[in-house]
Amino acid sequence: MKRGPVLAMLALGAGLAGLGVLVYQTSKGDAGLRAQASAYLRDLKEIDAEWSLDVLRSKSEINKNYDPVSAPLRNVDKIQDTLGDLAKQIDPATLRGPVAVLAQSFAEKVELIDNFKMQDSLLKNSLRFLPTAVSELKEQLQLVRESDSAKPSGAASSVADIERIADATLTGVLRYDLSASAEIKAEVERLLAELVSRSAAQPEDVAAQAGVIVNHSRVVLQQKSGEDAVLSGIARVSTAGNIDTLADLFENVFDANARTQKHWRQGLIAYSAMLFAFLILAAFRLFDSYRSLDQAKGRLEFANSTLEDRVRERTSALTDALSNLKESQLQLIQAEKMASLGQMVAGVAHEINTPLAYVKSSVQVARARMRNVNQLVDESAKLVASLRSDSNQKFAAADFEPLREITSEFAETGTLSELDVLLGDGLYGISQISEIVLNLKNFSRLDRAYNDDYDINEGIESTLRIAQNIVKKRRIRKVLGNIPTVRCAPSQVNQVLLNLITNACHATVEDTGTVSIVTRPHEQGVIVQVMDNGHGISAEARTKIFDPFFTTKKVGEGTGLGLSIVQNIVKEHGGWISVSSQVGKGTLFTVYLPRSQVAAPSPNEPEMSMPNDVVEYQHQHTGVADEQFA
Amino acid sequence: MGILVSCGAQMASLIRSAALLAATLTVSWFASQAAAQVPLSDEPLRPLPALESLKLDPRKIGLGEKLFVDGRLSEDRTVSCSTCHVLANGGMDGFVASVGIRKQIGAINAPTVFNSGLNFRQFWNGRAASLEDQIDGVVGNPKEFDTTWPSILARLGDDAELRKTFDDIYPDGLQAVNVKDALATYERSLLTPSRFDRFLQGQEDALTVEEKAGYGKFKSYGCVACHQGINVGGNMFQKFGAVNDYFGKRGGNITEADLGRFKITGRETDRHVFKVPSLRNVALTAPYFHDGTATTLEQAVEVMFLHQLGRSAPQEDKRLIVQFLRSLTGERFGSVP
Repeated sequence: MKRGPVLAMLALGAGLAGLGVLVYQTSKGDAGLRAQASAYLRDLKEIDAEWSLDVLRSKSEINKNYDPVSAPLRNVDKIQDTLGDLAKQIDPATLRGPVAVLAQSFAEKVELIDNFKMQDSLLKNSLRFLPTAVSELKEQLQLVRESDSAKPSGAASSVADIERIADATLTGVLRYDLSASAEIKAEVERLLAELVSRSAAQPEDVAAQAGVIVNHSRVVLQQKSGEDAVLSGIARVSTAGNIDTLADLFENVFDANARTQKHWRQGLIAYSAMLFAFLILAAFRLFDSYRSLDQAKGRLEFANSTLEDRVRERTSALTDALSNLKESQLQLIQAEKMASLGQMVAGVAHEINTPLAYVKSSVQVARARMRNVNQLVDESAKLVASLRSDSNQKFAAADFEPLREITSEFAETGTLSELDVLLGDGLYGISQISEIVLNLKNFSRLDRAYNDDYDINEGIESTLRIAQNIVKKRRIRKVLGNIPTVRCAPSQVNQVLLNLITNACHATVEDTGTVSIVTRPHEQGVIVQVMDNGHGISAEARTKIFDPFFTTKKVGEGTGLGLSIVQNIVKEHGGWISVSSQVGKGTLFTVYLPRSQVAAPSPNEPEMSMPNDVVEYQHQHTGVADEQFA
Repeated sequence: MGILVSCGAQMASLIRSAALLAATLTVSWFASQAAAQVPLSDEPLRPLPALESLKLDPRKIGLGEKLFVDGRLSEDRTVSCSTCHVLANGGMDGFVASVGIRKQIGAINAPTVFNSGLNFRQFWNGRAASLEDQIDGVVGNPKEFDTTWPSILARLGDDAELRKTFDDIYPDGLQAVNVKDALATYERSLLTPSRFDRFLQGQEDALTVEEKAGYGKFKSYGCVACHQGINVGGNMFQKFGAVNDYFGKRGGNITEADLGRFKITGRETDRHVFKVPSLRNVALTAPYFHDGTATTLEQAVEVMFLHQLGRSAPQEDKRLIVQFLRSLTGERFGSVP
């Protein structure tokens, strides 16, 4: 019943979650990323192409400075960073590699362009300067020629040779700039070596100038070959191809995403249809449930209308049962009373039997003796009659003889004193019996009112006498304190005492058993304690001893009502009863009865406030060491 | 009623004609002004752009300006960007090598911060691709700021007002990337338009006759092969000692700084290769070269002739070139609006 709604909620939640996932997946889309990526790639490709062109423009001096070949750096970096971010966002697994490859190719290109600028600037300077340098050399050589006009023509031819070599060098270098072949390079190198060796013999400034020409020629040779390598490298570096590759991959990823998107959309449609069907089913079920609910409601209303009658019926039945139960309880209590009475009567009968026996025998003996007395009386009567008739005083000895015999027999047997003793005995027996009857009467106290001031000590004495036949086989210790009278129903209190004392006796073994009875004033009332050194009560049994019908005695020996009734009586008197016990050591019952039944202390109090003297008493006299008092 | 309408229509048409006439006159006036100053279009050097054309966020410039002088960027709060890039001193400190944190002497001559946004790369060996990256290089350098971004952010983060300024400008507030952005934006605004820029823009009398002659020599001797473009350099690498060996002649030990770009790439062809420095404000930024060995502009020009151009020139020509170089000094510095 309870799991139904939870399951329904879970199912609903799962259904909505599924729908949410599908809607999210469907709505994800490329969100303009595709357009962005392709725009960036297009820009990058344009910049890249323009960059390569600008290198050539710089080379051919259409560009007057290197700003156009330096400016793209920042843009290329930025676009690559953006593409990297996009790749990370879209499909890092597929795109990270190609982005890195592109970055690598751009790094190569940047390096080549940096080299190009270094080489191009030096190359141009040297190419521009070399003609000047050569003509400066020629001017210096002219001065040499003029100053050397007096010298032999060998010197002049040497000057002319240097001029020729310088011109050839210049031509060679310019040719090399146009077409960098190994042949021309070797030729120029040869000319440079010759220039150095020839000018060595000339004045210092000529040699220095030749050295400048050599330096710059070498710069051209070196930078030109380097520049060719760099330019072909720039043409070769595959930035454009890598951009295309990356663009294709981006397109592929976006296409794949679009396909996935389509699948999700189809999934969404199918799922929606399913949910719709489910919804209809649920609606149908709901309608059905509603209908059965409606029916149930009708039944319930009908049941409600008849409920009151049924309640009334049941109530009266219960009332009957209760009164029956009370009656049963009363009967049970009565039965217990009768059982107690039975026990008591048996004891009392036994007690009466003994004096009765010797009263009987005394009377029987006295009766037997009475025959002699009758004979004496007869003889005496005869003698008196003969004395009256014999006026002449003629006493016949024979007339006195039987009387003398009888009286001497009386004197000899002491019949009269014996009779006296016998009658005394009889009277004693009768007095014994009457005492027992008095006790019985005292015990039952049927003659006294419920609200009587009663001396509990007196109750104990009479109870002990009533229970004489059980008690006499145990040692009884009485410590009866100076206690106030208690307003109570004496017969009921006596029943309590009898029950506790007989229970104590039954718990102990005959001859060695000791039962201690203590009374003392306590607060506004009286405490009565009955202790024994018997077998004790187990903790488990202790919780039940006041329950009706609980007994440890054999079937037929006890009703199990004794202590239950005791508890009832004590409570009715506004007192309490408690028990403590230790198995094998003994048991202590404590009863508190208030002087009047107005204020009854809490029944839990006694254990806490048990005075020391009582405990000491226990230890000294019974050896009962109860955990509750320890 | 009809007359009124037609009258109104005539008035409107008249006003329209007048407006058209005014517009035409204005355009032609501007055209004539432009004709008077035709920018030199075919020169290897180009004028600085107008600051407005860079479209920098003035709030970022303002923030960057504060951060530029902020010692909290360094570990012990003693060194800021402006310690080495002294704006009043041509954007550098005038030392052979700069003094960084705990009075440590740096390895290299500090380049000027002015117009540095126009350089194609940063540092002498070009190891930073942007001004933002350049800041990272300084922050982590044990001789410069000797710190880390987390500790910089912790120091700056204690300043509630500064934090608020960041929050106002940047959605994510005080972050390393935003500190760098503000500093770099400020640095990009540090353009120094000079008389020479006015000359390039067509104002012929902006240069003296000698300076113009010097510019001619600058081009004809080939200085312009490397020092060209918008920043008169700063857009390429070149070997120091391209024609005649420099380091052999200089003597002394070859330091790590002398290796130049080789230290970054490890390629033999990059040994002693440096970024060609901008010559804007060159008259203010002595001593010269990465090693600060040339104390005067004349010495520097001498070294360049010998080692880079591999030729000699009359003293007069060199003097004229120096004259020209002095015209590259900005007329306005720190053009923060």
